[in-house]
Amino acid sequence: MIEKMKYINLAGYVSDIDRVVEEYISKYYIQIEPVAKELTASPDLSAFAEKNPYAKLYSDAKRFAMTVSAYGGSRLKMDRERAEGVINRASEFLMSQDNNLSEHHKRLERITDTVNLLRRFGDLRFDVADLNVFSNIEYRFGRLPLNSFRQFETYMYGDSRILFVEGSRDEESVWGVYFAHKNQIKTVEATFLTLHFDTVVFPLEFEGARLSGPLPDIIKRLSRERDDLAEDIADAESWSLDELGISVKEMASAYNFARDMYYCYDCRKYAGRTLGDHFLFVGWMPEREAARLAKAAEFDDSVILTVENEESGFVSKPPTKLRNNPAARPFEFFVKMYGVPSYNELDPTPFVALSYSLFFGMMYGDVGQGLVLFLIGFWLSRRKKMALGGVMQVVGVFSAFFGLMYGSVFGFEDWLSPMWLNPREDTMELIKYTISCGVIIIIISMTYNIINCVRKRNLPKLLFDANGVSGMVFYVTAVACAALAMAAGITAPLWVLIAGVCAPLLLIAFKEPLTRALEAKKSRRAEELETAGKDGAEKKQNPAMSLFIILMELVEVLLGFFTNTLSFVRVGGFAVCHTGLMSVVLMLSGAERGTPNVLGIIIGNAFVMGLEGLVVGIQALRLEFYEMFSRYYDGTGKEFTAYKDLKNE
Amino acid sequence: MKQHLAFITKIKAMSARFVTRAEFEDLSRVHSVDELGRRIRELEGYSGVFGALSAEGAGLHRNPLERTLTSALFDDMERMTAFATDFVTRAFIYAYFISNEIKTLKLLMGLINDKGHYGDFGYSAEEIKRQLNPKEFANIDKLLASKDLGGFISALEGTRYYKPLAGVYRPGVAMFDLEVQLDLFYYMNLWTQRKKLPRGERRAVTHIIGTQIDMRNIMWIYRFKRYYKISPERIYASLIPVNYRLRAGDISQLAARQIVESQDALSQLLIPPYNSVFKESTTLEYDYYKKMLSVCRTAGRAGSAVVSAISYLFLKELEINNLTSLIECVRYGLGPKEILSGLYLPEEGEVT
Repeated sequence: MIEKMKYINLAGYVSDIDRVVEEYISKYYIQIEPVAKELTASPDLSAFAEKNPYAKLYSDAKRFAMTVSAYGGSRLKMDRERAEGVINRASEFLMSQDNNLSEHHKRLERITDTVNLLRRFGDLRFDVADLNVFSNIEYRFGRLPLNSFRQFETYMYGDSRILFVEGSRDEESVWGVYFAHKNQIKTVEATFLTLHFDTVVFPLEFEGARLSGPLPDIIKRLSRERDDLAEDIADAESWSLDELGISVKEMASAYNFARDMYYCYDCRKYAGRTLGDHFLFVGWMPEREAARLAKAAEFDDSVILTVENEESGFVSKPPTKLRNNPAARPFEFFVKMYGVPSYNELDPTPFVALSYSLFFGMMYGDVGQGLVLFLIGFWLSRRKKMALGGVMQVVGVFSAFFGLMYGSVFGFEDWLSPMWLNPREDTMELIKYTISCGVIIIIISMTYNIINCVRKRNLPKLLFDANGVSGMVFYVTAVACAALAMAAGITAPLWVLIAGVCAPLLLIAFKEPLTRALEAKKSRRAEELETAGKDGAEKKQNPAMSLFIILMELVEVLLGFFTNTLSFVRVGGFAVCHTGLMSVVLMLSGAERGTPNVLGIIIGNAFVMGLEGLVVGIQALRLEFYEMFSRYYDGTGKEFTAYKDLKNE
Repeated sequence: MKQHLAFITKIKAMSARFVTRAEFEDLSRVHSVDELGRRIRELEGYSGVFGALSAEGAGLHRNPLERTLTSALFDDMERMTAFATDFVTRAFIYAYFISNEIKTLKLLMGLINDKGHYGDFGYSAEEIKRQLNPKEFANIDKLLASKDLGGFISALEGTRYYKPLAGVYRPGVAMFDLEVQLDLFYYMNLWTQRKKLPRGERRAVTHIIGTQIDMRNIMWIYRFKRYYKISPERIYASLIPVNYRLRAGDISQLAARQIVESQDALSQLLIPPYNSVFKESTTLEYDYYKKMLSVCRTAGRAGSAVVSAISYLFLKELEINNLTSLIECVRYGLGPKEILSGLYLPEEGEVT
C-alpha cells in the first residue's frame, strides 16, 4: 500500500528557527523540499546564506565516526562547549601524533625510493662493494630511452671501448650501467649523451653505511626494513580513545551532538526567508504523521502550520512511502530493485509477495529444505540485517508447504505420502496447474494495469493497450475458448470469436490512430492549431509501410501473450528438476541400498539448496519482472526520505 | 582478399586523378605564379582543397601552398579509410600515413621554438586542425597555445607522440634531436605494426618499409658525410635501428669512412646492395623516388590492400612535391625544359 501524502507549510520567526527544526523537523517524518524551487513565483523570498557554524566541528568529529559507530548505549547530555572540548582534545592528539610520525614517514619514503632505484638494476647480480675497487675503469648508471638503446644495440654494440650492461627494462626505457677506461670516458660520455642517456647516482651507501653484498640481497634486506617500518608506523597510528582519557560514551555523545547540530543548522538551506523576518519550510508528510504534527503544533503560537492535499498541483511530485504487513514487507526490496512506484500507482508489493512465494514454493517444494531456508533467513535478517533474510523466511514457509503437497523431505519421497501429487509421476498434471496459475497471474497483472490507467486518467492506454481492456477481453476469450476446446471439445461459436478475439485485436492494432482521435476530441482547439504540421507529417508516411508496421506489432503482441503464458511451464519444470536432482543425491549416497551415507546426504542437500535456491530465486524474480511488471508497472516514482533520516546515511 | 576488392577498386579510381606527365608539361609552360595557381585549382585531385580556401590569388607562396596541397593527402586518407573495412588494414595504413601528421608536428614545433607562436606564414588554427587527427589530439587548442618547447611537449600528453618526446626532452635540447625521436617512433612503430598483417601482405609490406628505412639511413649518412663533419656516434644516434638488406657492420664502416675531398664524394659512399641506386647525375631524392616506385610496383602485384594504399600515398606525396617545386621554378622564371628536368615524373608503366 502507498501511504497518502500531505503537503505541509511550516512558517515562523527567524529567531525561532533552531527550535522549530529541533522540535518538529528533526522529530517527525518530513521530506523537506527546497522552498526556492517550490515557490518560484514569490520574488520576496530569499535564502539563508550564513555558513554552517558546526561545519568544522562536524568534519573534525567525522574522524571518530568509525570508533563510535558500534556504540549503542545511553548518551550524555551535551552542549556546544562540552562537545567541542571532547572533539578538540581528540583531534589535537591526532595532530600531534601526525607530527611525531613525520620523521618515520620521511625515512619510509627514503627507503622506498632507494629500493625502487636499486630494483631498476635488479638483473645485475654483482657485489656492490666491488664498485669501489676500480682504479682505471669508470662507470655510469642510468637509463636509455628504448629507441636509443636499439640504436646502440644495432650500431655500437661492437665498439670495444664501451661495455653496457642491462639492469632492467620497461615499456619506454632500458636501465643499466656502462663502463669505460678512464682515458676514454669523456668520448664515451659524449656518445651516451647523444643517445639521451640519463645518469642517476647509484647509492653506494645508505644512511651513512656502505652497501656491500650481492645486489639482490641488498634489495631484499631494504625491502624487509621498509615493511617493518611501515608496520611500526601503522602500529603507532592505531590508537584507542582510552589513551586520551575519553570514554566511548563521551565521544559518541559529542559526535552525535556535532552531527545533530550540523544537520539542524543545515536544514536552513531548504528554507525561504521573507522580508518580515519570517522563515518558511515546505515538504511532504505521510497523512497520519502530518496529523500528529498538527496536533503537536496546535498550541505553539510562534509557528503556523498548514496542511494541504497532495492534488493541489505543487512543483514537486508527492514521494512514495510503502507500507505493507510484515509478511509482504521484505518483498519491497524486489519492487525497489525495479523502481519505486509513482505516488498514484498501485503498490505491487502484496501481489509480488504472494506470487513470488507461490512460484518459489511450487518450483522448490521440500519440507526439510524449506524449513532450513526459513532458519537461514531468520538468522540473516536478525543478525546481519539483510533484506533478503525476510524474503527467505517467507519463501521457506511456502517451500515447506509445497513439500507437504509433493511429499518430499530432504529428497526422500517415501517418508510422506504426497497430499496433492508427485511432480515426477504426474508431470503433465502439474504443468497444467502451473499454466493455469500463470493465466490467472497474467489476468491479475492486466487488472492492475487497468486500475493504474484509471488512476492516471490515461484513457487510450486503458482502452486500446495490449494490457488494457482490449487485451483483457482478447486474452480471457482466447484462453476460455482454448480451454473449452481442449477439455470438452466444444468449439466456440463464430460470433464469440469475432467479438472476443478479432475485435479487441483490431483495437490494439489501431491503437495509434485511435489514441490520436481520442486526444483530438479532448482538445480540438489545440489540434486545430497544429493541423497543418501534423497532416504534412502523416502524408509523408507510406500507407503500405504503416500497415506493415501495424501487422508486425500485432504479431508481436500475439506472440507475447502466447510465450508469456507458456513461460509458466518452467514452474512445473523446476519442480521436476528438484526431485530429479535429489534422487541423484540419494543415489550417490547409496540410499536405495538401505543404508545411506549421512555425510553424503548432508553435502548433497547443501549443494542442491545452494544451487536451486539461487536458480529458482532468480527464475521467480524473472517471472515477476518480465511477465508481470512489464504489463502494469512503471516504477518511476521517488522514494520518501525524511529529513531526520538523512544524517544517518 | 575479396573483402579488400572494394578498397583496391576505390584506390584505382582515385589513382585516375593523378596529374599526368602531359599535364605537367602543360603546366611547365605557364609564365606567372597566379596563372599556375589557377591551373592547379582546376586539377581534379586538388579542386576540393582549394575550394575550401577563397579564390584569392595571393598566398601562393611556397609555404602556404605546400601546406594546402598537403591537405589533399589528408582528404584522400579520409576517403580511403572509409573503404577499409578490416581493422588491421586500416590501422596499418594509418600508421603509415601519420608521417604526414609528424610533418605537421615538426613544422609546428619548429615555429613555436623559433618564434614562440605558430602563426607565421599565415598558418591558421583551422589549417592545423585539418592536419592533426582529432581522435589522437584531444586538446589541439592547448597545443596551439603553447609558447615554448616544454609547453608544446606537455600539451602532447595523451597522444602517441608524448612519450618519445618527453623521454629525451631537457631544456635546451636541440630541435634536431626531437625530430629524430619522432622519426624513430614512426619507423619503429611501423616495423612492429607490420607483424600484425596477414602473412602474404606482411612479406610485401616488409619489403617496402624495409627498403624505405634502408634508403633513409643511407641518405642521412650521405648528407652528414657530404655537408657536415660529425662523429660516427652522432650519426648512429640519428639512424633508424633497423636494417633490412644492409648489414650493421657496413653502416658502421660507412659512418666511420673518411672522405677524400678531392674525389667524387658519392663514389666513396657506395654501399651494397644499394650500389646502383644512387647516381652522381641525379639528386638523392630523385634516386630515392625511383627506387621506391619500383619496389612498390613489384610488391603491388600481389593485389594487397595495404600495398595499394601505401603506393597511392607515396605517389600522391611525390606529386605534391613535384607541384611545389614546379611553382618555385615558375616563380624564378625557369623554362619548361629546366623545370621538367628537376621533377621526378614517373613513366607511364611506373604507376601501379
